[in-house]
Amino acid sequence: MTEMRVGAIYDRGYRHYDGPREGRSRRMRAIVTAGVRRCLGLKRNWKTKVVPFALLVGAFGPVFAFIGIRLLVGESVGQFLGYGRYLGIVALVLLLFAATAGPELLCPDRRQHVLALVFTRPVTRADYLAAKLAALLLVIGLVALVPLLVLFVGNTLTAPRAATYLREHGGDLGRILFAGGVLTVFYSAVSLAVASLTERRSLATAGLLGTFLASTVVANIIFFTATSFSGRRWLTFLALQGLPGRFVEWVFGTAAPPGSMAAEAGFTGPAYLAALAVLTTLSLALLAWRISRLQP
Amino acid sequence: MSQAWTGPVVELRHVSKWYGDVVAVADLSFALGSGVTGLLGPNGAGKTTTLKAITGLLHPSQGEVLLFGRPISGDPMLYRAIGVVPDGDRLYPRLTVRSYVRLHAELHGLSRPGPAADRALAEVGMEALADRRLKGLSKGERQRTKVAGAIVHQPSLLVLDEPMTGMDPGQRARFIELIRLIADAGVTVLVSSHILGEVERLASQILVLVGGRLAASGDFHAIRDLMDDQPRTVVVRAGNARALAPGLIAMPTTVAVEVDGDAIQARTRSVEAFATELPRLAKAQGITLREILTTDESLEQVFRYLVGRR
Repeated sequence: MTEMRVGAIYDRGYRHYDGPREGRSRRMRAIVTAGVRRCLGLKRNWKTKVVPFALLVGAFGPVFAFIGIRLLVGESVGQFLGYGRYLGIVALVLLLFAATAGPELLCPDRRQHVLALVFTRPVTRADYLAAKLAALLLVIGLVALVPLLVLFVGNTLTAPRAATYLREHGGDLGRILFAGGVLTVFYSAVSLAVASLTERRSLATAGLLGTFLASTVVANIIFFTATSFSGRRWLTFLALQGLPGRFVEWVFGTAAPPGSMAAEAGFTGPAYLAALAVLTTLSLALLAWRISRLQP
Repeated sequence: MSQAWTGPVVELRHVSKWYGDVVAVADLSFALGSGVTGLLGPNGAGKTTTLKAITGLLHPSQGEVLLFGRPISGDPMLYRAIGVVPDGDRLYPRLTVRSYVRLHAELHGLSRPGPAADRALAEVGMEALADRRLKGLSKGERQRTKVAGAIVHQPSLLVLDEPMTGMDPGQRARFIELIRLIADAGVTVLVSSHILGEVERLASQILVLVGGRLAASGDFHAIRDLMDDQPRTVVVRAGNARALAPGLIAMPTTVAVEVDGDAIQARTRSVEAFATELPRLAKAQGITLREILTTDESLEQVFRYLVGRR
């Protein structure tokens, strides 16, 4: 160490690299891997792991608790944790995860001025955007999709006859993949789009949480107070935090709570799916525009 | 690709960049071959804009930039042959030195990023600090880490923007030694700076930017020789300086002569004519010449002159 500070540089034979180079996928994999590690705080100090792992515990906790109860009590415990119900329980966890992971992926690159380093490597802006999106899809999918798959496997293995469970509930697997996949894409796109608007993580997180929660509160207040307003049923699409829930209810065949805004608005599931698709598309367009205008 | 190319490594053709009404650089044209080239200029001269145009980080408003004969814009594969060290602290502070360099090896698609990172760290003398986090390093150590990240794929062109800013003299000396080693291996190095002394020790060629325009380019001695309207100072030590002075004043290219003991400080418009006539004059008067030296050959003088002339 002391020798290091006194300093000497040794000629180790600098030469041109003529070894093999891998393709675009290898370069993108590097960004994806770095992104996933960053979101989850892997290979970093313990403080960066607290939030993501607390949220992961919040996402997986109900699943493992239910499976554990089924193992102890058996089939008599029933299906109190259905797939649609589970997504309803972890909706806030999912939002919090998206609101922290997306900004963690995008904001520091601008805050720490490292974009010039990235864009002077054989990485295009499209590669950068695709890799960041892929990293967030993996991380959000860890909360939106994997616990449901674990729950399905747990339900299958703790059923009196696994084969019978699979035969009777095979359709649930498709619904899990569909609902989990849509929510993963939706939250990833919206989270990155909001993160692309600022270089401060806290601002992006607060902005996303505030928009989702405030829009839902305001839409509900207006809906239930302005009862004479003829177009008030459309307010249900402004309640952003409610949209994923309405979509999930449709996929798993559950009904909105009686008296709720969704129940009174009377829209069907495909309308909520279309709303999620529109928001996702707008978010991706905003994200692509912001990335194309980044000044390294 | 780059090794087969025999033309200029970097070529700018009438490159201009403006932001609204503000012209950052105007009509820059130059070509760079192998060796170290210093890009000089006062703050705001357009050095960073020029380097960003060369590295494809901004598109010129006018003109074109060719690297290895190909336009940099829209050709990300060219970055395989380029290493870039941007200005400022552009690092992920929480990464370790090794993981930072390894990430760059991966971004270049190297098939064995780990050994490549270790080799680059050895080349910059950072292997002992490889497991330290970047945020705990000194300025010089961070700069060397950035260089390791830029040479991990062993590029043919290395571009460094103000790499010695914030370094102490020892760190600068080691850094210059490192860049020389890299250049000696056939790498074209372009380094911007406003610290003239270091560039003088480092670069064989210079480009001087003033007010967004190219004020001079080439070997700085050659540039100095071209500045024939600027008198140069020659110091002569002789046995009888006072007797020699009148003859020197009589020379048509001499501007001024000052005698101080055994030393004569002469200002001349032609060092060559002065150097030819001086021995003849001394021999005719039987005066012994002990020392002849020019005192303002330094890059600092060239730079001051060029900046002052704009």
